[in-house]
Amino acid sequence: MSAAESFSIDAGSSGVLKLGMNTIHNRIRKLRFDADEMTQQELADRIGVTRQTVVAIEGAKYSPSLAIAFRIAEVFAVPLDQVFRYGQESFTG
Amino acid sequence: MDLTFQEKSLWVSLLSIGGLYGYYFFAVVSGAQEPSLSAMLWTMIGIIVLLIVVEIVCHAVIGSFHAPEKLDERDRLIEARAGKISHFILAGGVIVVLGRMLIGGALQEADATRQISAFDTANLLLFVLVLSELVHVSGRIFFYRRGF
Repeated sequence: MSAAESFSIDAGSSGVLKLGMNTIHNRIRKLRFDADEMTQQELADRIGVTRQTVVAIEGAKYSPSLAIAFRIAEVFAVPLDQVFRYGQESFTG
Repeated sequence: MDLTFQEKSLWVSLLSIGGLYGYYFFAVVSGAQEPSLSAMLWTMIGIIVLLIVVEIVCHAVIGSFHAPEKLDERDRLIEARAGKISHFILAGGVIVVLGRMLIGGALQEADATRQISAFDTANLLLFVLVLSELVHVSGRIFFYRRGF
């Protein structure tokens, strides 16, 4: 699957955190769904945070540390930029 | 409303601190509290013991429904942000009380009726301390609810 294809997901399945003029997009919900519908609690246990923090990250209400961001990418076995994307460009683009 | 262990714990602290110290300050303002430092000391000891008992009992009850969660980076960030706000309130309050003491002390040299008692000063400092703690706890509840 090409990078372009992998970003073609529904707008509703990605979170968007606005930081000034730019935004942080994530598609954790989509990645969880693709990983045998992994629950938020399972993901939380694997990356060492609480479920509430996963909810906040997924809902784009909290921007995680770089270490947590890398751990999330590691769990789904994808590069970091397929989990988070910074700037005007979203995963739907 | 779905509350986490952390949020329930914070609500217990907010209500117990607010309730007990609210009752104490009401007693001070209404004149029910004897205006002496020794009486205040014993009341404070009573409130602290009561606070510890209430917190232990309530947390045991909450813990029987929810397993306490280990704090993560977001919890610590929320704690730090609420702590920063409460720090400003504490520092600002201490500066105001200190200013009142210094200005009051200078005025007292000219007019003895303007004397500020040690009991009043102690209560003002206690009020600032309690207020900053209430802001600290309620700030954390706010950040958990609003999302952070």
